[in-house]
Amino acid sequence: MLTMPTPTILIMTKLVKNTLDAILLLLGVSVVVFSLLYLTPGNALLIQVGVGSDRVLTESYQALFSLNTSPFIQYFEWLQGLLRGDFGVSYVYHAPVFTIVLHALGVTAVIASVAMVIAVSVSLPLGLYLGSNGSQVLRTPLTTAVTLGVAVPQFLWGILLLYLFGNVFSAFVPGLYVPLSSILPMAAAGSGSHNTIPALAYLFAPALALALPAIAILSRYTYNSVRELNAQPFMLALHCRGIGGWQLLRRHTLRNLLVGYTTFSGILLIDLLAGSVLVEYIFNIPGLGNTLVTGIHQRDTLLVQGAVLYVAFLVVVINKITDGLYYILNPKLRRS
Amino acid sequence: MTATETATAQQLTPKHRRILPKHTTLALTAVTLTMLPLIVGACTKTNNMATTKNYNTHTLNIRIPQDMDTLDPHKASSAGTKEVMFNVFRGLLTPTPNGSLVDGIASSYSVNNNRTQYTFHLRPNALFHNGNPVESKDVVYSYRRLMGDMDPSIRYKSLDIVTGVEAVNPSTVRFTLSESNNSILTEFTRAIIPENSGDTVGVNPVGAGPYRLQNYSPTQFVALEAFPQFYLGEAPIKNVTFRIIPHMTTTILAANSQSSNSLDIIPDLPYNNFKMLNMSNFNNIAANLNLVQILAYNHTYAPLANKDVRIAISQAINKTRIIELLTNNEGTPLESHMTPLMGQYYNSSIATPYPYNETEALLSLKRSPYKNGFNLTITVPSNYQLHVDTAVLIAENLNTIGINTTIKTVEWGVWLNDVYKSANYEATVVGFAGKLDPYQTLRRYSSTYSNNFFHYKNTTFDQLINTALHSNESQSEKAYRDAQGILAEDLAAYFIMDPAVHTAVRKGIAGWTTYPISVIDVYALHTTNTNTNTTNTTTNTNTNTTK
Amino acid sequence: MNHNQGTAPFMPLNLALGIIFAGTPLAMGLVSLLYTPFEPNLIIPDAVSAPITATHPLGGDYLGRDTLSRLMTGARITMTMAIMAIATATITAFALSTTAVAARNTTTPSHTAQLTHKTITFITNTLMGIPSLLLALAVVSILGGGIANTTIAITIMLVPGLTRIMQATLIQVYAEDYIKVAKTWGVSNINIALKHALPNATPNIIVAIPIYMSTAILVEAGLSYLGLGVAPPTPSWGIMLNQAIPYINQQPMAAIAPATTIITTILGLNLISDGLNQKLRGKK
Repeated sequence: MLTMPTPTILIMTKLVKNTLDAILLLLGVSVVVFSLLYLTPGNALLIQVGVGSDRVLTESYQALFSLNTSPFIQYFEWLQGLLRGDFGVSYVYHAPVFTIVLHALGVTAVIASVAMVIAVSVSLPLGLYLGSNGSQVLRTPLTTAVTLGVAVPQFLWGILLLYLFGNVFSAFVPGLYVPLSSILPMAAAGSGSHNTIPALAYLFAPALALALPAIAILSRYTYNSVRELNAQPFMLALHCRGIGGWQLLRRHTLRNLLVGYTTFSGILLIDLLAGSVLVEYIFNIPGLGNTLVTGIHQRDTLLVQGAVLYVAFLVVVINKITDGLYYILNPKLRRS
Repeated sequence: MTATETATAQQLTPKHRRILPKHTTLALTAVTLTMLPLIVGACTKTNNMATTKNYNTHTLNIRIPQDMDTLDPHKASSAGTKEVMFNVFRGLLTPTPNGSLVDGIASSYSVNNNRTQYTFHLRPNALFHNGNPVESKDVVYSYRRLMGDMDPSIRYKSLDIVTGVEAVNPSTVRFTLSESNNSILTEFTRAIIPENSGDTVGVNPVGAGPYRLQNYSPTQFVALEAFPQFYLGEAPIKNVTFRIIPHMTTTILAANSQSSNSLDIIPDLPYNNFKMLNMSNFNNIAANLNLVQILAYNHTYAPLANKDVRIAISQAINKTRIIELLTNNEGTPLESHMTPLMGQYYNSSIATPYPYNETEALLSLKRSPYKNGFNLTITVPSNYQLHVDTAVLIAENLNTIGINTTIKTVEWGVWLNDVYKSANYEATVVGFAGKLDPYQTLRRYSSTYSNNFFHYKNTTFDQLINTALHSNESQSEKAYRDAQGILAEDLAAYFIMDPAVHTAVRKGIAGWTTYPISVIDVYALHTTNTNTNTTNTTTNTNTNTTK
Repeated sequence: MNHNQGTAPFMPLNLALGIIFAGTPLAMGLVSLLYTPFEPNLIIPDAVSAPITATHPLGGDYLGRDTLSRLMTGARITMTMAIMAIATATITAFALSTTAVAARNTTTPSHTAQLTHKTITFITNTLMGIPSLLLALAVVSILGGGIANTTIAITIMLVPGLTRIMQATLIQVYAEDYIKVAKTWGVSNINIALKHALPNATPNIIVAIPIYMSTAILVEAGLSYLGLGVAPPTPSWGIMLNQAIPYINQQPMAAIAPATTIITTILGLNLISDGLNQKLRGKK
């Protein structure tokens, strides 16, 4: 008869399993992406040379783009590079993929985080208010206003906010991205403090454009869930027992709400982190979305592989976190 | 729920009265939203006039639509890169706005009798940005690099006829050619870089041009500063930043911004985008692009191989309508593969061989084996809206005479692969950017050209451009003109137009010149003392003379 | 605090308005099968950026085509793509998620069940990790453009998100006791899925569908923005909007019409979702 494994071993096994799953997923994604890029007509050399150049396509020129190597070897070599920590050099930017993606990810991550903070801090209270109590008068205009966030196509929001912050408020020049780092004083050039407003505005405006649809989706979900919850008999029972207001909210409403809310937020966060292509294009931000699009249009295989790997990794992490949250929040799901 | 429970619940539910009918709010919101694009459009025009900028303390902001593909002048392929880096590098000769070549780093040159030897004398005061003088060894190094001696991935076909380049003395360079060739002069405009700088020039581009690179932020901007020791004197504008803004609407908003850091020059705008600018701040410079836009035929596609079919197509297409609708009537109609900007090489006397006439088109089709029409797919790159719109108009015309035309939009990379490289298409609409050299412009139709994706073959044409390449000046010019005549008569493609564009130059800046090739000449720019209110419309008339 | 809403009204105002807002374009699209004032692709020389007149109630676009006719035809094309995409995606997502959740929730999961669950989660997560642009580009480049293939691209993009949402719902459903009871009675997995899980998940699914339909419409607009949508001159709302914005000075209505239609349709779909939610919850 087997004795029960100790908790440590259980946790270790789980950890190893999860890591293996994660690695398998990352491999799967990279294989699919590589194949898709390979099967899509066109290659980086062709696109660089274009129509007007009379540069000769010598063997060594072609070799720079791994054009004479079979796709299997290319993929295998890429894997080998990964193990060494080498993500390769981008065909388009002539710089290490690792550096480019890290930088782009940094830019996108900051904007995505701000967007998420805006979305959650607006949608959660709003949804709770509308679902629990909500004056009839306010409910309709509020729900409509909120729904507009998702009804208006994202690139329209982008253009509107760019115009609002750039031309109406003159907080920045549209299209001239001001990174947060420019707020830091430069040694020789003097203080960078005059960059504070443009940099912050250039962070807030695109984040808002990204947050508006998220607010719409999350508010609606919260509102519906709360109404559904409040309709349940146990809520009435609690109310009769005299539990109301904050306590009810904290102990019961939120607990039941948060499972689904977290799922939605997780998915939205993943979308945001992958970089919103349209918003980044309109605001001219060097984020992950723009980088990925450039990479795909120019068939920069190494850049796309690197960027997708990062995003896939984040997807795995976020999924694991949301899964974990299910277990914490919904006891019914816990199994020994 | 039981009846009592329902009753209790109803009593617990407070009653509210609606103040506003629900649909009013929704309707109002919907209406407001529809007004928003209108407001955006209108408001971008009503900004106040920006105050005069002081370009001694402010940088001149010029918008470009694409990022640099590389900073290395020997590797750059994209027009966008070349037009910017033109300011950082100089060659032995320099192009001018009318397409001719003048002295650059070379102060003079001589040619031997059978034109197989070119000897250049370098200016004594030509310096690189690192302070070193430009010497013949640098020229030798640069050209050997261009011919593949240093980096095997770099090689240019047009330099294949150069058999030797030698430094006669530190200020004299001699090129020896295997044959005399009229195209070789444009090869002497290529960038000269310091000896042994090949490995670093992509990161730290050192040249001998009027500006040196101050800062490059990929996808964002290229900042240049004037090089004080430039051999023709320091540039009037000290700091210029090329802002990379791909999105057109963002560009318009940036131009209309009231900030002191807004855009100063926006080159090459199509008419409808140009109209969105606040014109009280800008002068308008109209020009043609020296771009040949064509409906290209794949001559191996059976219906298109038939000349009567091609005649029918020419007669079916309403070229005037295309130019009117898509360029506000400012484009120049073309009859062959060259534009008037090419000066004396341009054949201006080609009468339209088969003018627009729907009845005639139907008759021509009836004469062909395809009396009841045929299927035609026009493959267009989706990123060039002008070509897509042109294809739509052409398709409409062709459908009227019974050619069942569908449009297939593909991504640029797919177009390059399927159409340009593999010639896997029937027809396409594409534009070819201008070159200084007429041979490079026309050789696309030569049967020996590797990128002849039209599969067009005409031996007379081949002979003519070959003659043009090797004969003397006046014979050469005539041969090029005759070659254009053949393309027109033979309907090698359907030649559409040279589109027109507008450059917006902020008031207070003068000196903008349009070149027939991709060049943004910052050296020629300078500030004016007063704000002039007159709009400066100069159309570009060129006489293309080479020495 | 509202503990319930009393008896559910037959037609909540939300639902009614939503049906009007979203139904009008649908009706326009259906009408366009039989009649449009002009051929949508017909280029009328006098109608270039034409003002609003009786002949052209919404004006003309930059090539001289009647905006109203294009809007009607565009409604048909966009709605068709959205409906087809959502239908296919929902069925696929439901099949995938029930299989996955059922496999995971068996008390003694067999190896095949575990493997099934793992594979499906793997596929869903993989699809989610692939940038949608690459997916769309690959699909369109390999299969070619056009309405059918764009719909396929949209479907593929919707499936992962839908599956994940359905999984979240189904996990709760499958955790309920009656499912466990059904299994001990030996009811087959398919029957459990169709007869027990589906009815209980249906309210959530029905509420989610209009939302995802609006996503499909927005995705289509985004795809045509990137040049990967329907080929011209076929109108779709996305293409109409994108092509009209550069000419907004000459005739703003060519952009306002598709923009307003997109916005009101999506508003309508969301209202329908709200209304259905109200109605279906009231029945419990």
